[in-house]
Amino acid sequence: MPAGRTVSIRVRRFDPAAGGRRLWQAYDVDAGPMMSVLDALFWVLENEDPTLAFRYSCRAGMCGSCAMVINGREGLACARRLERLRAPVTVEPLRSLPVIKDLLVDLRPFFEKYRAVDPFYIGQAASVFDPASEPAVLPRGDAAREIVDRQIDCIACGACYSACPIVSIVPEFLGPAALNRAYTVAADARDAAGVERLHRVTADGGVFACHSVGNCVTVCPVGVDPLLSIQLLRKGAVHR
Amino acid sequence: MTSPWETLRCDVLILGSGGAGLMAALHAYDAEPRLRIVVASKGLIGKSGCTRLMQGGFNAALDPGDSPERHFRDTILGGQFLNDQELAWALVSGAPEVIRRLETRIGVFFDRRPDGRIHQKAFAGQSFDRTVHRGDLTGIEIMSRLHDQLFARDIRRLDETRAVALLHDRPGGRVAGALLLRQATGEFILAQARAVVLATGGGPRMYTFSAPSLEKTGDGYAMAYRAGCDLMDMEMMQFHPTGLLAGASRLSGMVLEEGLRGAGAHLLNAQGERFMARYDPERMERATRDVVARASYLEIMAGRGTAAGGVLLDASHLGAGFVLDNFPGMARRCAEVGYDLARAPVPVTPTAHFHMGGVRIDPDCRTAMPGLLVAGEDAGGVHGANRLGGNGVAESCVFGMRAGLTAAELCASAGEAAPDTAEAEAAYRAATAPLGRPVVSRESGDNPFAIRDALQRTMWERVGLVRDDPGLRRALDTIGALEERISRAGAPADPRANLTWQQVLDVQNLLVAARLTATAARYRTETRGSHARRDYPARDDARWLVNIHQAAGREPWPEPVRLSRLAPGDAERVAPA
Amino acid sequence: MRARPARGRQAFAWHYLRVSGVLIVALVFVHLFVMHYASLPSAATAAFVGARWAAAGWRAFDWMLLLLALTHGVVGAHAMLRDVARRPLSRTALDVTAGAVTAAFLGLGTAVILMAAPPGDRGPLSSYTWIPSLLTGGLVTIATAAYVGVLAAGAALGMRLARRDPIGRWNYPGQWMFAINRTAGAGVLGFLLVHVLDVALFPFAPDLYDRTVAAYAMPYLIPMEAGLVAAVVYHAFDGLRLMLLEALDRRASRMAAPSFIALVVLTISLSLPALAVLLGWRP
Ligand SMILES: Cc1cc2nc3c(=O)[nH]c(=O)nc-3n(C[C@H](O)[C@H](O)[C@H](O)COP(=O)(O)OP(=O)(O)OC[C@H]3O[C@@H](n4cnc5c(N)ncnc54)[C@H](O)[C@@H]3O)c2cc1C
Ligand code: HEM
Ligand code: HEM
Ligand code: SF4
Ligand code: F3S
Ligand code: FES
Repeated sequence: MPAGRTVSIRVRRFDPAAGGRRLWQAYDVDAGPMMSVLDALFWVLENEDPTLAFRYSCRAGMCGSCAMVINGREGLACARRLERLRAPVTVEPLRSLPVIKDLLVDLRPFFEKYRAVDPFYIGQAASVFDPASEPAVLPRGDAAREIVDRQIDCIACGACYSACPIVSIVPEFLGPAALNRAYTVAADARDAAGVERLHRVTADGGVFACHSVGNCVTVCPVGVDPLLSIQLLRKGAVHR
Repeated sequence: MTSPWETLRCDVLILGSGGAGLMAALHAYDAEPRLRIVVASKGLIGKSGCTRLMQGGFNAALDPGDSPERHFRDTILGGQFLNDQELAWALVSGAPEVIRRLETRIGVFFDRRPDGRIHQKAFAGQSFDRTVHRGDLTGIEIMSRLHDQLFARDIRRLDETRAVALLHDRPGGRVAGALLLRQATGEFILAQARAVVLATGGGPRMYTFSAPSLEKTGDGYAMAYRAGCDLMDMEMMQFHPTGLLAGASRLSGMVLEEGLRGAGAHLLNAQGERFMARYDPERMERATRDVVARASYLEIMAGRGTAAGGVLLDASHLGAGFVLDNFPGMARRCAEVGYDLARAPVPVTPTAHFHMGGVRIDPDCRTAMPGLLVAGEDAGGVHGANRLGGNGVAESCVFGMRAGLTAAELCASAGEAAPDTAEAEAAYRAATAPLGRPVVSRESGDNPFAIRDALQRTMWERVGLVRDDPGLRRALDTIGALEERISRAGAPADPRANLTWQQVLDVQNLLVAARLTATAARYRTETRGSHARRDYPARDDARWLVNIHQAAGREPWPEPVRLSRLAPGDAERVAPA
Repeated sequence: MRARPARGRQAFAWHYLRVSGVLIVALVFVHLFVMHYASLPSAATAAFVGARWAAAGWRAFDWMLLLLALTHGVVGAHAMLRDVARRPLSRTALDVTAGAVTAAFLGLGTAVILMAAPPGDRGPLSSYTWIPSLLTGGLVTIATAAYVGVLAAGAALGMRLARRDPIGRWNYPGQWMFAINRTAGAGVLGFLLVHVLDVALFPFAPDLYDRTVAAYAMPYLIPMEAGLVAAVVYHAFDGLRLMLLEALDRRASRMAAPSFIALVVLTISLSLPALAVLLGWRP
């Protein structure tokens, strides 16, 4: 392994025990090749500061646990390589969510709003379900299906929620991730729900609170386009 | 003393929120909605664990040309006859139903063929293309949908709450709950339950290169072992042949999916040879994982590896368009660290992927310990000596569902039993012991991160793809020394969001799993499936058609495999359902 | 069946802003062309107005402009403020203010357009000579606020960049488009309110009207007037961009950075002639 290059990173720290002050702390990380921001945070934890707090699970951009604000932009810490970032690399917790400690935010508000749109697919009732039945046959070329197909990859990382200015202005705004999920289930031909979900997402705080700012699209690490889903819900382009 | 925990009473307590944990929660609820169900998970619910990382897909005999019997035979042949055949049968016969449930009840969307029916692709070691998938990132779709279904049901979630110990009732005859720890606040919860489902996903993170999510540290094995359960087949550690090599990043060891080899990608050594010709000229790269991983390892050890210590996975001859269309997720993963999967070879290494061993269960997920059910990777016996690609998620989902149904049944009959507070007290004291002890630097001793690194190195070098007795003995010595050291390791005093403290607890568990693995590996003096002994290179059916069991306070013991449906030699005979 | 439930205040504002926005485009641009490209703001004297309003068509045109611009602006501003006014009391106050402003200015403007008698030299209000001073003072205040605001925002951003401190969401082109769109909309509404008042002098005191209009020649106000044109151009094209984006069902929002650049280029190139005219250039 080539001898370490030093990369300095500045971490926005917040310690509830220290009276909740927010401050910047800088570290010089021994950066090996291909290290991500998440690797750098681990390096700090393991070598410099055993009190640093952050969240992680898969380290491969699949679980959405490690979203944070890196050099001013929301992204997954495990998917942003130090080599491709301007130094010093600044790392802050997601915006619009309460900070628990350092980079660890409380995701409850995000998931409460997510829950509010009935994000779950509503299938046949358990009593009707026949375990020997055949899965649905879904022919190619269904337009709604094609859009849904692209939009279901959301990993609920919260990056878009943090990047959206309306979320921080309008507390009841459900936010891009929840509305995107609402579209994908509402437009699913297999879904058996009525129009209640549509009523909820078109009422105040729903799709009409969005001002098409588009930051959500810019930041989404998996290429989902929440604004497209929001547009389609606004137009009622959901066939039932 | 005022009690250091809050208490929680429920009917079903589910530990872990991977495929197994969530399937258990949903099916227990659907069987009996009045049950008080709690899911406690070390990572965020539905986002942590390996089910989410699953790429290739899910094996199920759906096609009229296929059958559970064929799937069963592939599974047993892949497992080299070490499987518990009743568990394997439960897997293959339950898989098609689970696919239908996932589609029609949960809303999972699987890829389709042009005619609109579910598409199934080729995976290694299978006599039929039966792997159901959504692109090359199937796990995200399954887990998001399972997670969202929780919201349709009254199920209590405890995110980022790790189980620290299983708790017995006072006489100690059954499991009556668990001690939980909320990692964000450092608060403990004494949870009482009629049924506990252990689904923490085992996981081989005690190796230098490993695939699972970072929070999986063998907690389930360690807790079950301490609680007196019987663990089997712990020597059976599957190495995936194609773990990405990504410099100094933790991404190293993350898997590039098997479907690539299924689709015809080649493995090359540093000299550019397709070295599989030397090891399995017939199946080449499509041989089972154990064979391919070991071949790569031997190439590297023979000095034919690349400078970075790996071999090369080459998909470029398949055509850039084909690779990008069929493996967009893998291509993105490679691009992130600067490799072009579609056009050039990518450096890979074998990586510790899946632990076939685990807690002994019956087909309804019961253990020898009443009140405790185990499902998913924490359980042993389903896969024998080697798991087929695509059988892992199938296991999590099928047995998760069965565990949920069994739990609901248990609750109907089992009375309430209070966990033994003295046991909880002891577990609490042990868990909090590191808090406030000095955190020494990596170089100067009992630092949890240094201990983890040392363990990973030992396991990789001596309990890895090829093992021998002297090496295993030395590994066990090292593990003993590391156990000493971890008992002195410290963490900052503030218990809130204290990652260093969590790491100490993690390493304690990793060491338990590592010891079980090395002990069983030393015991089995033959080569079979994922377990290869340099000093015993042959498979020995006469002596070793046995499973190795371990339990606390007992020497390891062998038990013959019950060949209830298929024996070596009569590969044609398959009992009817 | 197409499910199309859309209820609530935000849904109304969303639809109204788009419908009125589309209708207003031609009116606003013709008006701006007449006042800014073909002529000079300070040349829009009582005689000029009298000549124009001799034609009933122009009066109808101006009334349509008044109706749509005022309601569009008030609905937009109300929607913006309603999102931040959290307490019931402030919400009621906001609703009442919005209604009152619309009624008052629409009433006044309509009366002015209807009266529109060809002016003599003086009118009933001609002795109140402080009125033009007040209006001029208002314009100077608005201009000062705008200049200070722009400078302060630029300085704050510059300092953060220099210190390498995070600059919030300003890394995103969408954020700039959104913020400029809002500021421009609110600014143009502010101007419109003053504007309706000064035009109201025309029937009541043509001489004072001329004095007010003359103030537009003050060099101090010229950047603001050019800014006003830029604001209208930017806001209008950004509004059209949004509507197009929303209509297309495409992943057009990936085009954030290019669209922002296009908007800025378009705004500058369309406002430059107006600035040139303001600075004395004649075709
Ligand atoms: C990279 C990768 C790719 C794979 N691809 C495939 C594939 O294509 N096909 C296939 O069949 N199999 C695949 N597998 C294997 C498959 O993912 C696993 O077999 C399966 O997902 C295990 O599921 P589980 O529910 O048992 O555990 P997991 O899904 O791992 O879930 C474990 C859960 O337990 C939680 N947990 C851990 N410790 C504790 C604790 N102490 N207290 C509480 N909660 C805890 C974790 O946070 C997590 O939520 C793959 C595995 C990996 C790593
Ligand atoms: C500095 C630039 C501007 C100048 C010099 C100007 C000038 C005038 C003049 C001279 C009139 C009188 C009627 C006429 O001759 O048509 C008028 C009326 C009007 N203008 Fe403008 N205008 C300007 C910008 C605007 C803008 C940006 C708007 C839109 C928001 C606007 C909206 C109106 C309306 C609604 C009327 C009718 C007013 C009424 O009846 O009270 N003007 N303007
Ligand atoms: C010239 C053509 C115009 C078009 C096409 C147009 C279009 C729009 C659109 C589409 C919106 C909604 C933006 C959003 O949802 O965020 C909007 C908002 C707004 N407009 Fe206009 N508009 C025009 C002129 C005007 C004028 C002349 C005024 C001032 C009187 C004005 C004031 C506002 C205000 C205050 C808002 C609210 C801003 C916000 O919510 O962000 N607009 N306009
Ligand atoms: S839409 Fe994209 S950014 Fe938003 S939560 Fe989902 S994955 Fe994250
Ligand atoms: S950033 Fe926000 S305003 Fe709408 S387009 Fe995205 S949700
Ligand atoms: S750790 Fe899972 S997305 Fe980064």
